[in-house]
Amino acid sequence: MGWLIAAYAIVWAAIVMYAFNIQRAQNDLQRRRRNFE
Amino acid sequence: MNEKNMSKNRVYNIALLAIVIVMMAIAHYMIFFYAPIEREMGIVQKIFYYHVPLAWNSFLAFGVVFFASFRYLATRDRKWDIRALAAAEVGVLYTTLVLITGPIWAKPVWGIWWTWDARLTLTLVLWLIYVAYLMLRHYVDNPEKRATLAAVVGIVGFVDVPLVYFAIRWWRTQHPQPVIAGGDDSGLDPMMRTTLYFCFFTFLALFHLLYRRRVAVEQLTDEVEHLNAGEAE
Repeated sequence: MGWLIAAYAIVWAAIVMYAFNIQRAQNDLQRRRRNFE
Repeated sequence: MNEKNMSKNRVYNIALLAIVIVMMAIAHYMIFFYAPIEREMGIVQKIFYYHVPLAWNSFLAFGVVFFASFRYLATRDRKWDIRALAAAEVGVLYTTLVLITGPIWAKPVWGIWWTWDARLTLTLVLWLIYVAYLMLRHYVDNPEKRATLAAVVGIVGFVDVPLVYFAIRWWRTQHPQPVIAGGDDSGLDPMMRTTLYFCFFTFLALFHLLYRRRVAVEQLTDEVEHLNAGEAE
């Protein structure tokens, strides 16, 4: 069971980190775009 | 992008996120309560429902890179370059997870983390090719040169995908023989097969969501760079 939990946890940690990274980049770019308005 | 399109996009993204969450919940119900526990490997075999769909989806992602790279070279339209980049990034993420979940499954079953057999080695090579693709994009400053070089790597690199797929059919490997489309001697319990297919579509929906978000970020980057350049003039 430990192996399974480890595998699933790593998959989800990586996917969530990637998604957050995209979101952070988007927020930053939107803020920069607003500065031009 | 005008206001109407932006709000339509937002609704689509929220709906897609909701679909992914519902599909993930169903997939995990199927993995733990519907699919039977494999007799020899036990519960650890359930890594299969992540490992295989991630691998199939990574092939698909690199297929998108291949197609978009071709379209870029034919049209020189930046949108195809953006699509290739987004698909490559998610493809690398999925392949990384294939390369992590595989050894975690192998250790309790084979007794070793890794072996240099054809399937495993070619998967590692596939990962290295697309990591190199992403690195190349960082090192070339000229946007047109960068897109052209990346498109060439995106097309040539795809050669490894069929090799990875057919490795277990062409050569004798430590990696298990195919359980889907593997011939008369292979097969999968029907409940396991249904769960596997459902997990494949779930990770495909997730791929679609991540890919769309990544494309949007790259478009926004272009927009901000354009505004920056306008300001500098």
